[in-house]
Formats: sequence, C-alpha cells, structure tokens
Amino acid sequence: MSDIDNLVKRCLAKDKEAWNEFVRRFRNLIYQAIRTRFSRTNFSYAMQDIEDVMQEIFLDLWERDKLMQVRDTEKIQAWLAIISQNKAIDYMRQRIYKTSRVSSFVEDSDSGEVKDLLETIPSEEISAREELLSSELRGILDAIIESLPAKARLVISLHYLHGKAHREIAEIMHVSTNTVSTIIRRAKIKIKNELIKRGYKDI
Amino acid sequence: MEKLIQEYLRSKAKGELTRTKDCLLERDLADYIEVKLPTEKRDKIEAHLAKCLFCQNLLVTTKEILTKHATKANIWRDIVVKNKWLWFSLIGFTLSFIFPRYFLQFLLAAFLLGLKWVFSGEGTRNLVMIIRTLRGQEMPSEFTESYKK
Repeated sequence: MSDIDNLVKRCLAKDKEAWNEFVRRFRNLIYQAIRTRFSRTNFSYAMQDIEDVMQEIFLDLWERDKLMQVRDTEKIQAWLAIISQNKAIDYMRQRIYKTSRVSSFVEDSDSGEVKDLLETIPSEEISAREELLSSELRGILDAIIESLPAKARLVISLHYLHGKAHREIAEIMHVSTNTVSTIIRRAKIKIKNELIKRGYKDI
Repeated sequence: MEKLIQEYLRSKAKGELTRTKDCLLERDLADYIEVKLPTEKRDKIEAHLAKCLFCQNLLVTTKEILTKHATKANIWRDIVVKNKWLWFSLIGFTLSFIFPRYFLQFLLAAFLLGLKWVFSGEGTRNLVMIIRTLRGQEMPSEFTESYKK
C-alpha cells in the first residue's frame, strides 16, 4: 500500500491528522488548478475568490466524502486538478450570474432573460477574422472533419485549436509521436484532396 | 491550408464551453490522463472528447497544470537523473584515488562515462556551440536566436 493510498484511506476514516497532511500536500496543486482555470477564462479574480473555491473543494472532500469517488488512489493528482477546475467553473458561473442579474436589472430591464453565462466568456482569444471562411467552405469542412475517425478529430483539434505540439499530444493520448504525426499528415492530405475535388484549388 | 483548418476550428469553438449531461465523469477523464486504459475504454472516451470542446478544454488544462506542478516538484530529481553519467564518471574518478592499485582502470572508466554524459545528455547543444566557437565559425541562426533575448 502506497503513501497516498494510505493517506486517502485514513482521510475517509476521518483521521484529522491524515487530513492535515493531505491538505498540506495537495494545496498547491489545487491552488494552481483554480488559478489556471480563472485566468484561462479571462475571469478577473482576487485572492479571495481562489480561497473561496478552495474552501468549497476541501469541504467537498472532507465533509461530503467526495474522495470516495476516486478509483485509483495512486493517481489522485489528475482527478484533483479536474474537480478543482470544475468547481472554479461553477464559481465563475455563479458570480457572473449574480452580477449580470444586477446589471440587467439596472440597465435593461426589458430582457429579463439570462443566457447560459459561460457562453459570454471567451474560451480562448478567438479572432474575428472569419472572412476566410465562406459558409459553403465551412459546410464542406464540416463534412470532411466529420468523416474522420474520432481519434484523428481529437488529434487535429488538440494540434490546431489548442496549439499542442506532436510530442505533447502523444503524451496526452498515450501513443507515440510518430503516430500523431502520421495522423495529422494523413488528415491534412485528406482535407486537401477533398477540397481540390470540390474546386478549391488554391488552398 | 493549416491556417484554414485553424480558422475553421476556432470559429466552431466560439461559445461552446458548457457542460452537457453526456460529458465525461471526472474520474474517467482523470484515468484517461493518468493511466493507459484498455483500448476499448480509450476509444469510448476519445469519441466523446473529439466532439466535446468542454471536455477537451478540461483535458488540455489539466495536463498543463500537472506538468507545471511536476516540473516544480521534480527539479532536483531532474538534475540528478539527467546528469547520471556525470555522477558515475565522478564516482569513477574518486574511486581511482581511493584504490591506487586500479588507478588507470578507474580513470579510464571515468573518462568513458564522461564521454557518455557529453554525448547522451542535453549538453550536446552547448558542446556544438563551444566547438564552433573554437573553430571560429559563424553560429547558425537558430542557436544564437534564443541567446539574443
């Protein structure tokens, strides 16, 4: 039985000392996860916001026994990073909901509707330069990308949308770098051929 | 072409950052990141990831957070592990003085291990720079670029 495994079990058995150790050990990771999520979503936050979310997470873990959900206690770090980010997302949603309710009440009381608010946060810096894509071309690309296998679609997305290098993608997907390169190359060829077939020659 | 794909994906990614009821469980995504799951399970998770930007985003940031976290924690271990041949070489060098009878043997071993360190480590790049300078050659731009900054 390993170190962390043991620690988690003792935490579930409500061992206060083990819990303190747990917090000491993973505090940094959770902090970083929340901060990364906040800043990636362009959410303006104060120290207090991070503290609040952290408090929530620790409450979940300690009082609401969320640790029970972990399948492999050896590999707890990824799970912690994920639940922290999800909490941060919930928190942002709540905050924006509150403030927008106030402002919509003040500014335009006609539209009492509040949209799903995460939509109003830009996920990345998305440029407005869209003239490159006509709706026809977009439809064609939709069809081509749709026809690729799921693995290839994921690789393409990680590479072109999230800007990950081949090596990083290989690490994420537990495959070799060569495999990733091959998938990207083949997908590119396929897209190009399909586009040429439909008369887009100069791309 | 690359630009086109990029633009296309970006325009699709606009305002789709919401969780749906089909989204991956936190622990499934964690498993996907941490362990090599059986193919069948991986395929299932990848099938969802391929179409869900919310989960994709979570996957990417989680990986980034973990990498950042790990590099901070393991900086000392890295120094030891990455230079292991250097340490072996030093040990050989020290041993050559402790056992004078095998002085030359240990010294040779230290020399060979030292060579191993030089050629297998990340020090190679520095080495190339040193040799080029000694020969009085111009540095290719990719070497000098990063040092100008």
